[in-house]
Amino acid sequence: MAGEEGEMAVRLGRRVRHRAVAGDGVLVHLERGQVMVVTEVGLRVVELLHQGPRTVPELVASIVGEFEVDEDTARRDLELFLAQLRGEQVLEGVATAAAASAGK
Amino acid sequence: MTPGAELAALPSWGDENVVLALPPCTVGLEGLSRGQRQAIRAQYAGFQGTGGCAPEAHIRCRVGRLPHPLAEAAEAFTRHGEYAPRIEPGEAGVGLVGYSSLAWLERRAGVAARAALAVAGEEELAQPFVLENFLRIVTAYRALALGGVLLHSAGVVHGGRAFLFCGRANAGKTTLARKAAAAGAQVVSDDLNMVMPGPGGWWVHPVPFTGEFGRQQPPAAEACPLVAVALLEKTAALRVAPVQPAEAVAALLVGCPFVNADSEEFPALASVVSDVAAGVPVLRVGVARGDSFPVILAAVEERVKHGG
Repeated sequence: MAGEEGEMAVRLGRRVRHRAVAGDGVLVHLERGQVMVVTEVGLRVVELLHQGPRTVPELVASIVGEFEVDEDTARRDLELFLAQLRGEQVLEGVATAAAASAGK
Repeated sequence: MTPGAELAALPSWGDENVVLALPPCTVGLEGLSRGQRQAIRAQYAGFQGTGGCAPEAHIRCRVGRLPHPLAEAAEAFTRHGEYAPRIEPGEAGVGLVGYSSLAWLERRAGVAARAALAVAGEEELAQPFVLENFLRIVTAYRALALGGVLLHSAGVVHGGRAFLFCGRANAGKTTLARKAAAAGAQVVSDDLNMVMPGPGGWWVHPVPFTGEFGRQQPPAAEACPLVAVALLEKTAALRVAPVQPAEAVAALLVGCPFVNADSEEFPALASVVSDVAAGVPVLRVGVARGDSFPVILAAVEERVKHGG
């Protein structure tokens, strides 16, 4: 999946599983035994990251398209959420083709 | 040859068998010496199978003799200060590597499955760090295969109804078990309780796995219907509050040892704990040091009465 030049894509870690529960979501890191509860929007982000690597602009576009939220708010909330997910070590960084070529 | 087949092919310790009735299944240990059989029967009195014939057990476990002690140091099996055998999930089965033992359990839906357990020393087998750890893991996997879970919790039966108090280490499970016993309630276990589907909902079955509180001889209770799951916390004052479904599922997932680290089992585990959380009130219960068990129970019962 192409991202913006220099943009790092992320995906859900291979040892992370998720499940929808009554509109919210539960995220489990199988190795660390960590469990997180996420909102409906957070669950959608997790589902997208489970499907494959996504850049921030791609995630923002998906969220704005699926929920009633403006782009600035979506981006701000998403970056906070991704920081939280990184803190819990449930994300893996993936260099996109564009990022790789930019680094040459 | 699979790891299980290799273990099962090891020479046995003798011709003796023991069948243990561990809900939700019976575990037949085959190939024991007389001494091993006696030690196991003494240790698991109250959990003996009635048939006494290993081939009829749901899980047939071949007990073998390792040719020499394992090389890894005990420190390799210590996690958070406690002994923790290494679980190695595979496609066909689950391997278990301990300080002085190797084991394997077939991954299979339904009741019947094969297993193998091997030690280098005859007397090591019945040691809790070998046999009990093996049985805990076997029981957790078989429970899940049959639609239930083995849950880290203090289980208390009052008036023929079961209440589970879940929490991480030091959340107060053993303290609560002691308070409950002092108040005349039956303590099923202060460490692990079996939750299985049954008539009208979820039922708690006694298993021989306890923490500091110790095992009741005979087992504290028959299976009882589960009334509520309390997520135990230490607080300044007694507090009981409902928990959102996702929070309940998250807490239950954390509380299901062994299987909750196995990616193969995650879909089944998530499904079962979601069903438990949907079928039984899950409450956050903050308990202060001075709260008596009757007061705690009354507060939980009151919340359950009002729909959790």
